[in-house]
Amino acid sequence: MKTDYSRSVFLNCPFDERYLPIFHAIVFTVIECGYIVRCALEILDGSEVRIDKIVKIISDSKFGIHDISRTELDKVTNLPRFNMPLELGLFLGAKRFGGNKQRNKICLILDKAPYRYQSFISDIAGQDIQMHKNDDSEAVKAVRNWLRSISGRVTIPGGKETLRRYRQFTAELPVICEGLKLTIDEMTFNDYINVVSEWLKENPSFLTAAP
Amino acid sequence: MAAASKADKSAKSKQPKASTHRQRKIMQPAKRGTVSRATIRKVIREVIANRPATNEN
Repeated sequence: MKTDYSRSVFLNCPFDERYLPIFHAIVFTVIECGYIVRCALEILDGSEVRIDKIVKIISDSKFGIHDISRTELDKVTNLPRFNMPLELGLFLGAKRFGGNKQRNKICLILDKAPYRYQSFISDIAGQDIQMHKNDDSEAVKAVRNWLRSISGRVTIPGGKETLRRYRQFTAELPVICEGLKLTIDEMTFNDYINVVSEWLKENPSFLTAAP
Repeated sequence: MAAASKADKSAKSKQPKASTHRQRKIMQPAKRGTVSRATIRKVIREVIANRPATNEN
C-alpha cells in the first residue's frame, strides 16, 4: 500500500476496552485534522510478526502519538506492560538513527497525569508530553492542539469546535452501528476509521467546505 | 484583435478568484473492513436525513 509519509500519524496506545473512548477520540481528531491514522490494528494478516508490522508503520509515518498512560503494574503479574514505551523507543530510535526522511519525525507523548513519566521513563524529559487525565475531551484537545501547532495549518478547526463535532459523531455512532447491524464493540479498527471518514465527508466543517 | 485579447485577459484577472487555501480533504484512505464504504455512506446519509431540526441548522 502506498502511504503518504508526511501525513501519516502512527498511533501507539493500548487497545483494551477501558481505553476505547480515548482511542476513538484520538482517531477521530487525527482524521478530522486532515491526517492519516496508522496503527498495528490496521493489518489483518495474522501471519505477519507483530513487531515487523509496527516497524513498517513507524517507518511510514512522520508523526507519532504515544500514550504511555497504561504503563502500570498488572494486578496478576505485578509487572508493567511495556509495549507502549518500547514502541516509543523504536520511534525515537528511527528519528535518531534513520535517514534524512526519518530524522524529521515528530511525536506527541500522552500520559494521564503530569510528571508521572519521570518515575519510570525519565529519559524522555524534554519531549512534548501532554496530559489527557483519562478523559476523551482532554485527548481531543491535546491531539488537536499538537497537530495545529506542528502543521501551522489554518484549516484545522479550534479545540472546542473539534470537540463539538466529536460529541455529535459519538451521539450518532450507536444509530450508525444499528444501521450497519453491528455493535460498537464489534467494529474493527478498519470499520471505525471508515465510519469516521465517511461521517466527516458527509459533515464537512465550515473550514473543509468548498467556498 | 490583439488589443481585444489583452482587454479580455485584463477583465479576467480582475474577476475574484475562488479561494482554495482553506479547503482541507479527508485524507484517510479506505481500509478493508467488515462493512463496505457504500453501505456506511448510505447509513450515515439516512442518519443525517433523520436529524431533528434545530435552530442551529
